[in-house]
Amino acid sequence: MLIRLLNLLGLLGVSLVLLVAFYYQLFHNELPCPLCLLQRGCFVALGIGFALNLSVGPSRLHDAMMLVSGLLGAGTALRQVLLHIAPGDAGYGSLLFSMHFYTWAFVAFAVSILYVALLLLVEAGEGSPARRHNQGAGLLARLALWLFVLVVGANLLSTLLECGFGACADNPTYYEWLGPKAA
Amino acid sequence: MVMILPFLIGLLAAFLAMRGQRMGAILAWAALVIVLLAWLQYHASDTLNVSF
Repeated sequence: MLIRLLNLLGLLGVSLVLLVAFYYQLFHNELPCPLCLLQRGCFVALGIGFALNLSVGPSRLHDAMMLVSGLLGAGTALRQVLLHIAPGDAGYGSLLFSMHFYTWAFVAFAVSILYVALLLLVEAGEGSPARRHNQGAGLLARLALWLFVLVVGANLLSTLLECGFGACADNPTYYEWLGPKAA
Repeated sequence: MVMILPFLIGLLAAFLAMRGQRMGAILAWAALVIVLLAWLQYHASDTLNVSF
């Protein structure tokens, strides 16, 4: 029961992070740079582990997938932090509670790794994976799964509008498919 | 580099995970991680302005 709740909260947390990024993209015209999009991709990879734990039951393989995704995301975010760490560099994009989004992304990925460690502890306390019975996804879990799929789909659509079928600009200021005036 | 590719594969993996198709979702996730690594190597090309 506790494992299911933790996985549900984890998946909702990933969706919330992607939705906050979307809010700033749509209402504050914060177009994501290529590294920012890669961090979003890592959040998607992280969410797939939570989604699998919810839909087919918890497994150490799913937890390992989340750890790999968290480490990859933390590395990507840290790379962007280091790009702007020198004195006099104002960084990329606006601030959220005094930190840039990529710094928050690094914090979120680090927290996700700790969170998976907590999941593993709880799973260990509830016996071996073979002994656990998967009762299927409940209503809340199904809603969270649908929300996650929709958020990932929305990211696909917005990236298509922003970058088309090619690479994104390093400092994007408008949507490639909508033209400069639409940004 | 096709920037929509990670999200396309991610959407497939998320959909398969939601449908409970475990092996398909895991394979799509693995493809997503490979693409993310490749795209990171492509985009992380600037020299860092740091010294240790």
